[in-house]
Amino acid sequence: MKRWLLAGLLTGALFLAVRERFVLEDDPVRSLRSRDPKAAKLFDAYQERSLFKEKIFVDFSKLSEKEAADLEGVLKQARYTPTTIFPRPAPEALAPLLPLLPVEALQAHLSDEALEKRAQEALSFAMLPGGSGYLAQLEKDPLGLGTLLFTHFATSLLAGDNGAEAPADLRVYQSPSPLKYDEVEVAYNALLALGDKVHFIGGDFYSYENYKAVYRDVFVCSTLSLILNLALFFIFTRRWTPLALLFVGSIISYLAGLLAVGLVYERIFSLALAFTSTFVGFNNEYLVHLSGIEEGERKQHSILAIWSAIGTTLLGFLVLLLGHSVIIRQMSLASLGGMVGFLGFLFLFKKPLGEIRFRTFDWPKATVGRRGLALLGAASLLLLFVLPRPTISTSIEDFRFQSPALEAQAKYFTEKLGQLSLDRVYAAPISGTPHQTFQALESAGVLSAHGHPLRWFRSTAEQQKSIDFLKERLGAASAKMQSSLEEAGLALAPAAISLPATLDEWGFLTTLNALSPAKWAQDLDGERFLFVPAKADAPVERSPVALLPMSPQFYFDTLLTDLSRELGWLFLLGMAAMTVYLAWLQKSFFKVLYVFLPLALSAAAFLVIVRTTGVGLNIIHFVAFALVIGLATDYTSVAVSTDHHDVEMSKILLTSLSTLATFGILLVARHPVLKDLGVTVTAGCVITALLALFVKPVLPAKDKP
Amino acid sequence: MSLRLLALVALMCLPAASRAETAVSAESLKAHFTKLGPFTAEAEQVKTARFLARPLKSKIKMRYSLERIEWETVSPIRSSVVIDKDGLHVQGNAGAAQATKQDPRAMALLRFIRNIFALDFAALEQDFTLTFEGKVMKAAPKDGSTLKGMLGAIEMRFADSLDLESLQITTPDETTKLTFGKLVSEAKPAP
Repeated sequence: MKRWLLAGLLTGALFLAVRERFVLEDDPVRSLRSRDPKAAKLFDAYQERSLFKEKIFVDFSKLSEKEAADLEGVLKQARYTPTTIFPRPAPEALAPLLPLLPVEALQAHLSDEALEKRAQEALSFAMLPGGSGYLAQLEKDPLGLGTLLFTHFATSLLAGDNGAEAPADLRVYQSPSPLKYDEVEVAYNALLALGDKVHFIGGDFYSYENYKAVYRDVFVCSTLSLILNLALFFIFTRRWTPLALLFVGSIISYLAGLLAVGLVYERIFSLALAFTSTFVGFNNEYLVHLSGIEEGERKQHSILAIWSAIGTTLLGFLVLLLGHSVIIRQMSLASLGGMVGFLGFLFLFKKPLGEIRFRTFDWPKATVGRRGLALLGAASLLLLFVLPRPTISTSIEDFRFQSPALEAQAKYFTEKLGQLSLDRVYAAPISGTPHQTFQALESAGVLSAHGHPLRWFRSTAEQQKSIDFLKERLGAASAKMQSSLEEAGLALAPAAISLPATLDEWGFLTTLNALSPAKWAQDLDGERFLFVPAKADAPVERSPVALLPMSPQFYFDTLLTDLSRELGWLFLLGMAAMTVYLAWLQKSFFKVLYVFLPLALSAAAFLVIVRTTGVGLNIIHFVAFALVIGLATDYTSVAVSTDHHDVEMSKILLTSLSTLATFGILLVARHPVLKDLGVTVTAGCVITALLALFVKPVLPAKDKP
Repeated sequence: MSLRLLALVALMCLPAASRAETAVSAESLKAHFTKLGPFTAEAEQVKTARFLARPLKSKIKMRYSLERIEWETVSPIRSSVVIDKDGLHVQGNAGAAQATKQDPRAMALLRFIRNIFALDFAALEQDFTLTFEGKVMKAAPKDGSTLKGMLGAIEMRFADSLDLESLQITTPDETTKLTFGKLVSEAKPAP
């Protein structure tokens, strides 16, 4: 009772400490930064303005009046508020761009006839109930030059690739904050119910689909896993204490892992947090192997088994600390903290642990000698050598539950929104003038130039013509407008219009930076960059200048793939450290070979699966393989340390079945991350468990434990 | 379901004796308006606004249907605008609708004008808190409504027969009062 009280106090203290230090970073990729500081800074600068962040886009074009009204009502009920694609800049903010309008457009806009029409329009608005709001706008932009500029640029920016028309009635809504999934569900279901009549896109819907899939998976998999583990532990030990220890100890290890990260980092990334959910897999092994250690001759073997199992796992975690990525280091710290927490907790229950007894089972085992082991090892290595190398590639999409409905919507908007999709955007260092860089990229066939603002740029001489016209016409036009309005009985106080100066290309782009929904240029420590959209399937490698990817998907896919490779190298380093450690501990080459043989077989089997299914290796497979290394090597190291003693074999049978009950259940998961994790861990653990349980090495006396 | 102004104004032509001296309610108005179809109405509008040197009195001819409202000012000057799902079109100026469409507040105001003449309670209640006092229905924008700040108060006065007698809209810059006169309705199209 005292022990449980102490454990309770420990849990409470850890909880309070974690609550004090714990800040979750929910963006799974924010920790990923390019190793190139220039690329990282440019990416951050470009992403300062995200068109899609906390917004949804709905194309109302095909909806009837009634359907549109009903949908507006549903969106309002779900707390989505209408907003704009382009927050309309104030007319005075747009004024510096006036010289970019051709003189002919200005002549037409400021003609007597156009001014009359505008005055008439103002009066028409004035006649409407509530029309004064428009007259207030008219005061700020009496000649409508702001509207003219806005319409000119907005229309050009909204055009898709190859001049594709933007949706005729595209509406933008601000997401509710904080986001509530039951509200998103209401909006999402209403949109889906309208079928092909409506197109929509927004991060909220992806989040909701992911949430739904994960929620269902967590519920189904946790329930099944709990029931199976309860049954297994009860069958093997005929008591509930081990399960209570596993349950409470896992809470403590989880909190200790979080605290370890919190002591070093201000924020813990959600990917590292998700990794802590695998602790239960390691913990059940620690628990089982530290339980029921009998005094006497076998104790030495059991201790050797424990040091082999726990020591290799510890080395695996320590090696991850060498990782470059913050996520990997956080995963390592969390694992080390979790391990210390769980083992510390078990230390409190040393006596009850010693009293646990395991049911033993007997089954036939194949024996294999040194020659057989050497042959199996050589065959595995040969297989690994001859099997084709898989591609290593991780995409953000691998973390996303793909729904066919949302995929169709994304395709529609990629075509329609063109440049505004912010897809395939690159930063190009400016060589010469921005326009020269722009032209060089266009000539190389890289650029999707249709909606780029440099298309509208006009020479200084042409700009001067527009300014000269404005200088000559503005006064008269303002007076004409004023008199027309007064004649109609409208007493407005129009804002004065100041004459703009000519803009150079850089001034034009940086002015647009502040006004348009995307950035077009960036100065980085004196070096100037142009943001350009590339064509679909553009030969980016043929670009005359080195292009840096700015679209989130491409940028993060590259970083995640690099992270996967880094993990791969760290695992190899970890296995090398484990080999040295086991060789020192076991003092037998063949025993070490036996321990690692299933890993080589698992890797070979995995390569075959990858080859057959045609999938590439992603970061989820690498994380899963870390678990296989941590969990599966324990089976063979314990088996070989105890010379396949009945009690230890029973423990291996229990831990391997428990691992399958935890990770094998993930095969029924809908979410791709959980499913991939489940498939990889299950495949690796089954192969290792079969070898540990059914293949017994027969070694000479000097190789005996 | 949208409700129609038509029946209300049409009922104004009925003999006074047939009018019941009862207070209006959302239910009674809904019951009337569901039966109505497109209509043409004439009204006198008096507008006082910061932009107007003196109160502007004008004669309005309005053609209402579910799809569009034509708002014609007959005097003191002639002007005509059409409000439809794409926004507001000033007669002879094709560019105006696109400009208003980019502005959600403008679209919200235009939707409001349509909803108020349709007496579409479902739509109105999304943005307004509705209260009834005798023959008057008052609407105040809800917190969080796009119209908050653009519109202050709306007051609709109904006759005993539930005909719309007047509509007053107050905004920060203006007060507009419409007093309805002649109204001609068409039969509601078969569903």
